[in-house]
Amino acid sequence: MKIGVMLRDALRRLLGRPLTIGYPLKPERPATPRGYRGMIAYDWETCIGCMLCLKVCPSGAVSVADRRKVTFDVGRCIFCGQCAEICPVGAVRLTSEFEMVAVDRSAYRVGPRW
Amino acid sequence: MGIVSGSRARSPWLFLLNASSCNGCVMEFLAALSPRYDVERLGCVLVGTPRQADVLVIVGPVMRKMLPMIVRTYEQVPEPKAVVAVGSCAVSGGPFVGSYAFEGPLDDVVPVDVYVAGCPPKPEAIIRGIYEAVARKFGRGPGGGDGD
Amino acid sequence: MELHLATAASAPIVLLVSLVYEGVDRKLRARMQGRVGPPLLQPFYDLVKLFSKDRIIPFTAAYPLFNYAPLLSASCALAGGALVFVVLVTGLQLAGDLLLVFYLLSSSSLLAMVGGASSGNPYAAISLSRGLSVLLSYKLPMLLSVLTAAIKAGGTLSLASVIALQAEAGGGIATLSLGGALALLAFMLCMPAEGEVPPFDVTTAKTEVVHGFLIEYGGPHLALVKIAKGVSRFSTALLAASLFLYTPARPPLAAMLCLLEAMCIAVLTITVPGTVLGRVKPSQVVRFCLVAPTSIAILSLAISLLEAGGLA
Repeated sequence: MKIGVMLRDALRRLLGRPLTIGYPLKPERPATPRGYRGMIAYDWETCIGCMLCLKVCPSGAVSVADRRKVTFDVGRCIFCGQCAEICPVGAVRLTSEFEMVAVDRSAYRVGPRW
Repeated sequence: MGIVSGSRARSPWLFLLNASSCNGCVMEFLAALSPRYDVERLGCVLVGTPRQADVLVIVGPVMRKMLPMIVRTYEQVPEPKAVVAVGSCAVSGGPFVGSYAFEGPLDDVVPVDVYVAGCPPKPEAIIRGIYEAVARKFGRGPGGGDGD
Repeated sequence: MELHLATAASAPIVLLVSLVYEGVDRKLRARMQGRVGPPLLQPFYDLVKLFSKDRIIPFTAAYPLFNYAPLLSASCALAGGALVFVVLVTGLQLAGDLLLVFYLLSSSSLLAMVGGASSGNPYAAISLSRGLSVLLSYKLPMLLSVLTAAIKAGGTLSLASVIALQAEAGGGIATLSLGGALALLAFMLCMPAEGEVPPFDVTTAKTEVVHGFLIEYGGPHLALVKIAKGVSRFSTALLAASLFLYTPARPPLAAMLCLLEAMCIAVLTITVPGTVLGRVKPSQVVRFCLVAPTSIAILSLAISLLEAGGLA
């Protein structure tokens, strides 16, 4: 009987520990899977200004900044990781930071800081 | 902290509005309701009609066909309400910027309280976004904590 | 006059207990699904929030009906629940109060549905037509099983005499006779339909008819409909506990025991099926209610008529 199986499972869950993680209430942060592409980290001092990332970006999230550097708009990024792959000096990296929550869209701009 | 504002923060009911999304964000949003993330622990319930909602979760780019529906749905959510834009498409338009049917980012159409970037964002990020929106709009975070 | 006062005074108690049951229900449901679940006070937060929200009235709605039906529905449910509670505590003899409770609880669910359907929303109209057929199909076996208890108590339709009989006999009707046990079974089989939970939640199914008649309700209206629903759910369980499972004890203790039994009945017939079962079709609900509980109720009625004849 299917009902019997469901009842048994429900009872087992009721007596066992819940599967829920404590994430937003407890400080623990769940681990991201290996190879997860999250927030962009841009090392503007290493950047040589070849503009390959700008050419390869499919969603137009990369724009030219002053002095041959670039600015990434994370709010427009689709996290394909092509900019990190094509960068000849490894100045672009996709970190495992996933909590990209902002109240203002300007917080999403990752660019050179001088 | 009054009883009313405390109760508002502790029972934010969610309404998911799909504004021409590719359904990636919808999947991740539904994952946030699953036992592993369990938003009901924060008092959130997924409702099927905007009349019962407190937090409007909008996914997907604003396309011309959906524009009147988005505005109408927003107007049908009774005050006080919060709006969370989930996913890069809702935040800025993502890869659809420049399309003939694209009608600008979501905050040109309705006021957005919290943006959650990602393509799609992880369920944790969506929960954090709802949490921040409730904390900003209703005075404190849901589920006993008071923000960070 | 005293009855009015007592009923008005016990309405908040019934509301409180049914909200506590709703909290327990949501918590248990979550734990059975492997989740942590909302806090026990969640129904209170929901109600306070809903009452503090804006009122939106669709312009297609028939305003008076849409606006006042939830209030009437909630007060009918509260009056029905409070009446059972008052009789349980004071043992007041009222001729025909079993029918009155039935009438109040039925009109509560009917008013909520009609109010929702008067919004002009097609989903609410579908929900009303489903709700009416479900209502008719489960009220029949429920009434038959209540009649069994009435026959046991010597053919009076007063709750107090059924309770008095059980107090005299030293146990609930369901524990003392086969007819009573069958009647309780029939009553409990109808409870998921009364509580609008799976497998019989065809009227308010979110994925089928988008909350059914609740679709246009929000804010204070929704809070009132939720009160009506929660209270009528719990008062039906309380009615079952006091009709079939009354345990004789000193006055305050006996009422407390009945509330506890009602809680257990509600968990068994509303929380557990709501978690482990899936939804069936509206026609299947009607067929099930008119076959299984009805035949069991008729059987129990026949058995108790025979037993009553044997005694006389």
